[in-house]
Amino acid sequence: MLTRWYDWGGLDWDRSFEELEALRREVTRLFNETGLDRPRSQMPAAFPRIGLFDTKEELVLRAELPGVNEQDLDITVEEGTLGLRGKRKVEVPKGYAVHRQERAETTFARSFALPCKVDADKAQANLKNGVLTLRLPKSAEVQPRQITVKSS
Amino acid sequence: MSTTKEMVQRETTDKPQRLSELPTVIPPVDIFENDDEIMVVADFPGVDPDKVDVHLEGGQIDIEGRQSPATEQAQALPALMFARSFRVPETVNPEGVTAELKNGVLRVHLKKSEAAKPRRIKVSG
Repeated sequence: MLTRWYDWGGLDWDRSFEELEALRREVTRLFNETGLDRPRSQMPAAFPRIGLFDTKEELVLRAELPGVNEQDLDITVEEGTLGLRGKRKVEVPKGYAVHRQERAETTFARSFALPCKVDADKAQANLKNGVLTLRLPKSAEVQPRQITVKSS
Repeated sequence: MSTTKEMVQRETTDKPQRLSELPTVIPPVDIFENDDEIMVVADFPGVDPDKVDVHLEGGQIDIEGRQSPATEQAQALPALMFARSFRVPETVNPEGVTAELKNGVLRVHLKKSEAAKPRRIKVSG
């Protein structure tokens, strides 16, 4: 029996798009199952997130340390190097089941070369809302000085 | 060379910053559950309690927190906004949601409704 060359065995264009759509749905479902599409939390690339700046009179370090207790922090100034070390403990509250745990228990150690001499004895550290603010006054010899000009 | 760099920096970072334009970060979150409540714990460093927004509506909880930009550090450590949303099961009593912020960590307590709490049935005989 002869068949016309353009007769595609009853293949229907609408049906073939339907099949593509079914494939797309299946792929979406598979991705949902693996959880690849869920938003992933963004722990800072380096923990803690840190800002260092110079206010002319002092050097200031701010570090974001959510859930870190002050007794778990160790700050040192030694020969022009500032060291920040610590650990964050994460505890599962007693009697609770865990559904999701993204907040990592972590230890950290970071050090910074200080751009000028500081008066470490007058340093002030303050931990508020999970943010450490460390103020290191510059030593007298590098403080900016105002020179008054006298007219004679 | 350095002046060109300075100009480029000024152009990109010295724009006026509005609260709504803070870069948004997805904070890491823990979720715990016991018989009485579901507890959501999120890292919100540098967020003041009055800059936290916990919103429960239509079976979804949205938690948001904004850091207050401090002028002296605006460039060294730009302020961020933390935001996260979760579906909440029907067992949660919408009236019984509380939140506290301590040490830069937000804890949201979602109390379960009385009907959803497990009950121990005493067998007599």
